[in-house]
Amino acid sequence: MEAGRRSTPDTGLGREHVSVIIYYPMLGLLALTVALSSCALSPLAKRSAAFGNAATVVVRDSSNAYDTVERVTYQTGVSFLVLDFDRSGFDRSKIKPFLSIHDLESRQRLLRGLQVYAEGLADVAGTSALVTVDDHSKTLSEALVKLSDNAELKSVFPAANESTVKGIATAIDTLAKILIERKRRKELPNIVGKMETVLERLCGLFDEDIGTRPENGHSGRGLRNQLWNEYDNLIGNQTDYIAISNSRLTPAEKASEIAKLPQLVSQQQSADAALAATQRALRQLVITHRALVQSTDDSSFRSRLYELIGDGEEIAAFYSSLQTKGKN
Amino acid sequence: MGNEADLGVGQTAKDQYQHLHDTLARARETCTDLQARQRLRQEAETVQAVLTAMDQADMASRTSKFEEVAVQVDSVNSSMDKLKAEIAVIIQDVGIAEKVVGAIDSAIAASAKLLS
Repeated sequence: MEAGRRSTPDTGLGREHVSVIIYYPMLGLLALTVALSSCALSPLAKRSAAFGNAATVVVRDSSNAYDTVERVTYQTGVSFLVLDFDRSGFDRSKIKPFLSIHDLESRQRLLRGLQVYAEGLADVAGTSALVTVDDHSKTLSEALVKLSDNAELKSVFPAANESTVKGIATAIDTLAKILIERKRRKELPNIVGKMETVLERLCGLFDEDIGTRPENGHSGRGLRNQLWNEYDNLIGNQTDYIAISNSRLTPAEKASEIAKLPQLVSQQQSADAALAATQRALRQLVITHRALVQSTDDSSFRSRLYELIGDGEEIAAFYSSLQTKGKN
Repeated sequence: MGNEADLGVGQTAKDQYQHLHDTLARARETCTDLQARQRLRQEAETVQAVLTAMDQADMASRTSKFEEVAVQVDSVNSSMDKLKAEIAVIIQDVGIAEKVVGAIDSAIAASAKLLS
């Protein structure tokens, strides 16, 4: 107790004076940082992180759209090959991808770019940076506590007790978070704003690529048109197979092959629905992205986002079930 | 105007092929004669090749636009990387503080041993 009352050798000040000089400004800094930290994570940062995760789902769905059409085109090519093998042998020209490597690569590159943007947004605006700061601050706090226990240091700086040093660590932690959030608030709106027109153009291009299905005697366009027509061919080829193999099939085998026809019709419709839903998700992505910086009503942004994620997951389940059926 | 007129002609031709495709598809579902089925299949394959080529050309016409947009996305991602790097510096500073404190502790302990 006596040691605590003695004056420090260098300053000649008592412990009470040290408290005034060290503790009070520290408490002031703590109060300020805690007050500032309560509004540290901006709505834009929260929304950006959530949007980044939702966009990842749409990117995956868009990529699946191309894969699905390529797979069905391949299956149809194989079915023509099988039916005509006795007449024309192995005709390589029957197996061709729908898109050339160059065309497909340009689309995949753009999807990868969008994926990088989505992940970057989720990462920069999310809590990962704050968690890392917390980890460092925890280690800093432990190091400071250890330092405050140092007998040599105590002899020259008796005020360095555990609560003080923990307070310093908390202040540094909060300060770092404030600096990060300030940086985000300054830079994120510019980045998101810059991406707005780019995303509109990007989603518009993918929307056009997905196109429309044929209807009422009019041809469609793009992936939906190709998918729909190739399913028509798959159905035609399946009826050919049943007709050709009719005499060799047992009644049960014949029934099983015939049962594949309505399954193909159902797959045609669900695959087209998945492509159409992907188009809607792309359009929704543009609207949700725009709302990142525009909307002040957080609940409407959230509901839009949940809708987007929900649609995205449903579409993904569709594509996944189509892949499973394709393998069977 | 010329392009729109070309597109109109292209769409009309495509519609005609689509109509042929639909007719063949319906015929294949109901035809029972094996030889006729084979002919219908060959026709269907040929018509599909034309429709596919038209859709491929339509898709390919957008490829250069995809490439342009990819460059713009890369530019936005560079800005994002810059922000990420700036945030990393702040995190690094807290990490440095942690190392400095550790070093001070070690230095004091070493000095104490030296002076005792």
